[in-house]
Amino acid sequence: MAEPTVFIIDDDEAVRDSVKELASSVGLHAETFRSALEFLDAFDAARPGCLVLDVRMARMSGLALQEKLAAMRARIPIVFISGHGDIAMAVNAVKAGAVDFVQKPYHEQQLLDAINAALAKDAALRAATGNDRGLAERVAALTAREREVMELALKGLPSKVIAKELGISHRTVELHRSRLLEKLGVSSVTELMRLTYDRRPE
Amino acid sequence: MARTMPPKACRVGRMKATVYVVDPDPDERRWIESVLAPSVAAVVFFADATALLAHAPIRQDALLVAATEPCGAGALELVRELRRRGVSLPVIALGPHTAFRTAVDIARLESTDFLERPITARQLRAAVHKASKGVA
Repeated sequence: MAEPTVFIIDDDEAVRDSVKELASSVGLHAETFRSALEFLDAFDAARPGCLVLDVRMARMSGLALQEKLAAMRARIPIVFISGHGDIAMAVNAVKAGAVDFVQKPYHEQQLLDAINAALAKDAALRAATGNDRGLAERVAALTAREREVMELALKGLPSKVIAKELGISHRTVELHRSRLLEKLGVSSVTELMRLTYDRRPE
Repeated sequence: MARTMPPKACRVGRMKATVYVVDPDPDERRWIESVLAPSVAAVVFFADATALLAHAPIRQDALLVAATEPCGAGALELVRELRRRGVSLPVIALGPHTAFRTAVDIARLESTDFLERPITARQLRAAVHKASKGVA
């Protein structure tokens, strides 16, 4: 697999340079962009990596770019960095899938940890989709009941409703849920939804 | 003369949910109770995370309101431990502006929300209503 790239998008040149230097200092390949639109022009979903993205930029904000990438079904993981982060905005960004939200001025190690987590997530997503047999095999290894719970959870049904549907206790559904997530190697149903979205038959 | 219409009151009606609360501040506890007691089945207070974790069984229709003060790491660890035990009860964390890092870490966990204090009664009720949709 090609070497991953840290794509840095910030309209502040000093920030672009310092994040690039930080990435390079630990041997990571980095590319910088002055704006979200400049990045989108060059974007190639086949290239592994992650985004380090400021929230406030002219013309297209970081959050707008996150939405745009989601609409394109591009799953490149995002680390937001911002001097203007208010909590509600950061929580929304994370709920929308951002790996992390780091406040400026940032602690170098914290940003590096976030970048590494994002790169690991990208690698895991590519391995999962690139290796169809891997996920299919793991799904096949689930018990019948775990598969039933998974199918209903993927529809967005909460545990209590799944329990009613299957005629089992809520507690049992919870146990199946956590076991199947562990077996499939994902941390949440939301992550599983993202992984399986592409492969669901029409 | 122009007439301005008053904002529509947000009537959420009585929710079936039981709300567990972990907040060491007695004033905040009183306030939370006054805001939520009329709208939910029950409000149950726990002295701290340990007390909640020791409480069994966790009700299936429950949700948790947890303060991140004085210890944000405590609230975060509480939610992580609940998730580790396979307990998916929705969590609403409440904290100050300075709890940014904790807010992000909690938001990364499933079925969580974080509200920055101070919050209004309406905001708290709306958050509880939203969280209870999964359990009602």
